[in-house]
Amino acid sequence: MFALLRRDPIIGSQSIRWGVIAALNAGVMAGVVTSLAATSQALVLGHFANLILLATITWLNMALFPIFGKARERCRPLDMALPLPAQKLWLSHILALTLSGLGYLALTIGVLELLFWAFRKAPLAFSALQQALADSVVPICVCFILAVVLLQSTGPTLYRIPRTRKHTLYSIAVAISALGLILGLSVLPLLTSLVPLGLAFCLGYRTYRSVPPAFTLVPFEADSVEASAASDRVEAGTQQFGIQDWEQHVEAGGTRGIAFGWFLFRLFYRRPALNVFATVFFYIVVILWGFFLSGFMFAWKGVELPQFSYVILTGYLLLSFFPAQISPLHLIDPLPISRKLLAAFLVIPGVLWISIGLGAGRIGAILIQKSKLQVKYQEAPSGYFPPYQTRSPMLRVPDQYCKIAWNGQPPESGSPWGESHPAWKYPIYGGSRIAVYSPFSTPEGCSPQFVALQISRAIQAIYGKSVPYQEILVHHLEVKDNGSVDLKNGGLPLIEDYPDLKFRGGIPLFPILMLMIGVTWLLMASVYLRACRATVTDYGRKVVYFGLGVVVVGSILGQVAAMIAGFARPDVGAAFLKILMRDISNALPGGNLMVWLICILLLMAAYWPAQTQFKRVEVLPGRPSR
Amino acid sequence: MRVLEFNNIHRAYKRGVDVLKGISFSLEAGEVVGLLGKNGAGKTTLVRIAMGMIEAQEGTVRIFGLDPREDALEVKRRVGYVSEDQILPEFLTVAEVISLHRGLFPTWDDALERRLRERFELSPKAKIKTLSKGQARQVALLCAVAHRPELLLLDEPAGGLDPAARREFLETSIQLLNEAGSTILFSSHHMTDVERVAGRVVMIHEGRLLLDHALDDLREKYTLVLVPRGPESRRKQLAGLKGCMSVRDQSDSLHAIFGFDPDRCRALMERELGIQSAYCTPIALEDMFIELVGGRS
Amino acid sequence: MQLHINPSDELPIYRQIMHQITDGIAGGRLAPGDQLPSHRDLAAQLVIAPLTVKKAYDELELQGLITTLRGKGTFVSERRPALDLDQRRERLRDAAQRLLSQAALIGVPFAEVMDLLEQIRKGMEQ
Repeated sequence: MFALLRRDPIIGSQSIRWGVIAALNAGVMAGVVTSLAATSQALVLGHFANLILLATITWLNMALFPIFGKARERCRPLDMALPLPAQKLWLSHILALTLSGLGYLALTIGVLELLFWAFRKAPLAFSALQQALADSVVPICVCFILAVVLLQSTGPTLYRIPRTRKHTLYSIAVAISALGLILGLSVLPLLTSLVPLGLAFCLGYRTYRSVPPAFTLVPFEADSVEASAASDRVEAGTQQFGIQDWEQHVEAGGTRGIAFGWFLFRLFYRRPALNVFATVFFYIVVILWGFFLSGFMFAWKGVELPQFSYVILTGYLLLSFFPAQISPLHLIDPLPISRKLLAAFLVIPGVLWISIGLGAGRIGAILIQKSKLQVKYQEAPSGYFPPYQTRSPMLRVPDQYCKIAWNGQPPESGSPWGESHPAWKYPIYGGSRIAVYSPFSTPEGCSPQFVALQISRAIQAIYGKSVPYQEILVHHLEVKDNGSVDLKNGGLPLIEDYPDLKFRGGIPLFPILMLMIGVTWLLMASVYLRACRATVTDYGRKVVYFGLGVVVVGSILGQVAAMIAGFARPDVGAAFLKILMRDISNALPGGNLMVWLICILLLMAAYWPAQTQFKRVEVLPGRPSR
Repeated sequence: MRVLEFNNIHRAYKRGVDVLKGISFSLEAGEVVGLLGKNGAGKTTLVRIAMGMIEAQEGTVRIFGLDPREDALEVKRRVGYVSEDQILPEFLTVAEVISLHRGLFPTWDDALERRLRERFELSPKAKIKTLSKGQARQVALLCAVAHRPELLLLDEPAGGLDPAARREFLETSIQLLNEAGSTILFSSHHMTDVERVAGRVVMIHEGRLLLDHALDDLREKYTLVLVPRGPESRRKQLAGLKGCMSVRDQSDSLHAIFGFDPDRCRALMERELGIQSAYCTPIALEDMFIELVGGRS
Repeated sequence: MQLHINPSDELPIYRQIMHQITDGIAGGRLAPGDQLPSHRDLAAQLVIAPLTVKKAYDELELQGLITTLRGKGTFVSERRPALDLDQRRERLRDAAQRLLSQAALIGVPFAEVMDLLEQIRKGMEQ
């Protein structure tokens, strides 16, 4: 049986790739949760939300596995000539699928446990996630087994499940309902998971019994849909046709222009191996990812998600689909189609998809920012890690209005009546002299007038409008029982009083983020394309692809490690960058417009190596043996 | 004008494993050249270098005087290419494939396309993936030929086809030769096809050019000589004779190829080795291939 | 008359064509003034390269057996080439030498060879 397992088409080709994806996913999850935890927003992300996050990300990767790709093949056609009973083959295939999927799960859990251990000094940070993990492990295993059995129970007489629309829809339905089942079982007591497990065993046994002694290539009923899908070659010779038939197909001038573009689209974007659903799914993920990076969630709900830290990951996200996408290149290589055109066609759209999500998010964020007062007074929530354990209440302004103290000595914030307090500052990395500081700090022990003064200064800086602090003190501040101060109603009355407050401080985040993402993507693409030569073996290409992945995962885990060690804070780093951006865009003639122009030019410059490498790509249909 | 020119082409896929080691030959307009060699000798690599699909690591290749990598578009517009392992996009129908090619090649000849279509009896709505190997190859041939290419590169085009399909392939190629005076370079393992159509034969072995000869000359000027095995020294003696191209062991006899006609060979055998009435016969292309290339290390 | 070729024959294809046309003319199946198919037609018919046909025709034209008239086609020559008897005999010397050597090698007596020649001559005239 072990020998059979080893021979299964699933094992080997998939294991490394899925392993890396596992690490990536765990890294992403860790990064998200960490940054949320750092700003103590994790309290908002409750137990159930953690559960959904964990289950969805984990399940999505596990589920794609038995649906698409090699999972459909129960055995190789060659195996059917061997004296092996089909039942054994079927069983070994199910076991192979289960083991691979569970192996992936184990790897993910391993990475997460590693993170939990690293965070053991700050147990509260990941406690919700840990709990979610503990709750969902068993349901995930059970539902995976159930899904595998369900999916492998169709057409038990065939050596390979035919790729019909019906089956694809069925697979997706199974995947989605399994996710729901996981979530449901996670909140129910452990023993309820035994029910679907038992179900899986019963169904599996039943199918096992119904597997015939030998698989067949094609089902018995010759005119069923499965039959025509299962048999790949059908003789087309007897089709009747006539001159009229051809005449309607003969277009003057042939396929040009838009029709040609449509052909290219079908060639490269329609991936029969993965099915059109996977392709659409991928692009939805890309758009959502762009949206996720845009800062919309922060503007809307104050949920701070990583932006700059995830730029490299975005580049790699786009790269992940790239090899599959350029694989049909060999079909049209001999044709006089310009490589420059193809390069543009294949490399640029990824960036466009991101920009759609990012652009929508940015527009939304800006609109929301305009409708809310950008000065917030709030209790600084205590973060989970040493760098975040500041207890003083803070006046929160958009990051770019903070300042940089290059010598580490920010001026103290003073007042007309002599009260003065040190500014809140934080070094950009451990041991650095350079620090980000807030000129509008309101540390503990400052008076409400001082708070009002700082708010007034903040409004002056952000909106350019002079609102006297006395007015704020009297009309807009409320002093709570415990002595803490807050803006009434989040500052809305202030906005009503001053309807002409115009938010001036938007930094051109969109072009800058697009530039960072674009450059990362283009450089990664150039590196990968450089490996697409006939001199580089498939294995070498895989090494490049996964090597880049390792770099990406390393960058994220490195950031997490820096955060744990107290060496750096991503939000401080982001603030530093934003302040610089604002200073630069203010200093440039033409301001934001100039920034846009520069970003576009730099992007075009970064496109050049990708295009050059694409022109030199050598694609071959098979092994270059002749 | 030289239509195709290879000059000292070197190409390796792995470090140290050279597939082509300094290949040089050229084709003039209107020639039909057969490219012969064992599997793995480098024929496909050579054709791909000509198409610009692969770069030569050393040496130059010129098609119509142009570099197929630099001026890829122009070269590809004037060249037709059919290969055994080149497949058309499966999801297209026959009509769509033809339409695609029609749009890409400015010199497309509609009348020629129609004639070929009718001869091959192609059905417009059939998807490529449902066609048999022979039919798919016919579509590929139509697309390669209908734009009247100045150069036709065929890489084992009839591989895996039945004899009737192979013959049709030849007929279509000859039709193109007749109508457009194209130059053809084709590699094949079917010697009868090569003997029919090729004016010249180029043989590649282990990355090097072994033979570059007019086919008629080959038949008239080379002889296969069979002598009994004899003592060990005989082999060396035979190989050392002037005009000997190769010697091969074959169970209890030695096969050798000489660049003389049979009578002279017989006389030579008698004179040098003392063998009376050695078996000397003009050599057919297939035997020549086997002698020169088969079993030689 | 019908031409056919064997690509694997030891004789090059163009020579096979030449021989068949020559035999045809000699045997009377091709009369002076008969039109021969064009390069392209013959190439398409026999499935060989048109250059090969051209080579054969060029050689025959050199020997004076056929003539090409521009725009009209290729025809069998109206009259025999103007060579004297000695030159014509020289042409045959090689072939005769080979025939007799072979006969000697395989042990066919001269008388038999003469018989054979007589047989073939009769066959050609039919």
